[in-house]
Amino acid sequence: METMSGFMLLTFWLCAGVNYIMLRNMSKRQKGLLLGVTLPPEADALPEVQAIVKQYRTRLGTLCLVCAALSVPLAFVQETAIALTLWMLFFLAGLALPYLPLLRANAELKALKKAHGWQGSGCRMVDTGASAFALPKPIGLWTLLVPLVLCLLPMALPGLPRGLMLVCGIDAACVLLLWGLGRWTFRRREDMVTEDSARNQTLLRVRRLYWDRFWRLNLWAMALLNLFLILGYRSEAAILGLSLGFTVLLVAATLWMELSVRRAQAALTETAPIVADEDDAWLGGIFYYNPTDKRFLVAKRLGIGTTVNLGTWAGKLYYAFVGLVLVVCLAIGPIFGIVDSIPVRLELSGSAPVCLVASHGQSEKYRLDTDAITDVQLRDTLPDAARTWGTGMDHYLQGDFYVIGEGNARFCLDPTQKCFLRVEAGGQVYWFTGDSEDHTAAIAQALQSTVHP
Amino acid sequence: MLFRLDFQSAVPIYRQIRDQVVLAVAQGELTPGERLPTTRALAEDAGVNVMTVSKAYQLLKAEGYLVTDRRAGAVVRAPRGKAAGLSADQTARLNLLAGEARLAGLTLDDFVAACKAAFGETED
Repeated sequence: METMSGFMLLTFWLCAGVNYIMLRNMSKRQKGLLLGVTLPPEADALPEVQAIVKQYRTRLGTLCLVCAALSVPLAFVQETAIALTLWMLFFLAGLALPYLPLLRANAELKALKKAHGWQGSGCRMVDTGASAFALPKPIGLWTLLVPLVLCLLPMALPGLPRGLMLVCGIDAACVLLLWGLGRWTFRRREDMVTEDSARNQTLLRVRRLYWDRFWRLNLWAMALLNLFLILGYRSEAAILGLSLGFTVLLVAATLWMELSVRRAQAALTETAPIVADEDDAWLGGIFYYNPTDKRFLVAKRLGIGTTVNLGTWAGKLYYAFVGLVLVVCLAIGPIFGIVDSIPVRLELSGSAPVCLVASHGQSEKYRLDTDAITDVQLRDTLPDAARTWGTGMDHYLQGDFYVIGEGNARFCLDPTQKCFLRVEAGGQVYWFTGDSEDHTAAIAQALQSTVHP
Repeated sequence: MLFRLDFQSAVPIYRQIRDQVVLAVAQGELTPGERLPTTRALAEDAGVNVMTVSKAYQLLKAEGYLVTDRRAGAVVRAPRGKAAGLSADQTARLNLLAGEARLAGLTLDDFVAACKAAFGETED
């Protein structure tokens, strides 16, 4: 099994597991909602409702298990481009399919609700009393400061590769973004579901309390991950392992928070009659479509999540963008395959001075003056190396690499070949291959005669 | 107070906000001196345009149910005392309601009883 495939398999299982837990959780009554439909408490005792919930759980469990099992053979596909294409397709299908039982159960429950005359008023509720009391304050500037410094500090380290500089910069921007989002989400006042202002306010406080925890956790996680990446950048496996481990922890913590909020929301509304009923605006219980609502972002009815209002032009634009991103994701594999099939080239060009030119297809990557070359070696193996900046494919490695035991070097080569040219010029080490092993050897011979006449 | 905004209704949203504030004041749910949310906050919570809420508040202010202050925002105003009678607009609305009741088959006694019950709800 390739490292990438193993990583994808673990990531898929993680995502599918979270998907299953969240979807199954919707089959428990919370805030008067059952599978995305607002129902009165007496509905729970109806055999029809119980049958729908039971069928939903069975279908959901079966579908998730089948998807998890089908993902295993994918991990053994050898060719990276094909594996990547298959994984992207599988991720989309494997994470979207479990929503089908929800859509079906939601439609069945809505029909049952209509048949029993449990339709709500459809009015939008605003409880001014709930938001009038003192509420938890959003995260302050001091909370931002330490994680931001932790992200930016490694940039001051001497000799930090530019790839890691970029990582630090992106992480610092992410920390700023998270902080801004954290403050922004506190502007929203939701959870106006009962006639009791004190209860509505408690629901709001619970949401804000967990929002606060969520943003703080993310700020620190981003800063610590940045530090770990800087410390372990010399090994790609270490970076991969650290990222995966950290993601698992973060997802677990977020999941715990989400379920805690839902439990609190369920407990707070267990005995209170729910007066808010916006089922008509929630398509399939998932997508919010309400053209009369001017808000682009609205709070999800359960948990601490936020969703986009498809009824606004910005919402439509957002979903169009998401669709475009998904199409691009599906195209990544084929594009990867095309780029990987382009041969690397190596040639000596010009007369005086003669230059060693390394290219990928028609794109020139490195040009070295042969007069500046101080050492030429022909090696039959490529030492272990970790990429710090550039491209890493099955048949093409290009950019800055850290060679274990040797230090930094620049690559433009096909790692599947058996013959590698190692040159030193201007204190910098380069590793190259030509389009064939014979060609690489011929170039090496020509260079050796120039450097050591 | 709890606003219930019906977007399917023919009654404009600003009018619904105005009516519900008046009813809340009459029923004692909103007391004199109590502060209402800012137009921006209410608009954001309700998912409506700021201008819609602003229009409702302006109407309430013109009718004497609210006073607005730069610092305190919109504040419920104390009742003005005994009025000489219903205004022309209120009389017109009462006439319409009485007509609808008659067409619906209510007797005068039924209508008066309904009026008494509704009036009683607004008494402390």
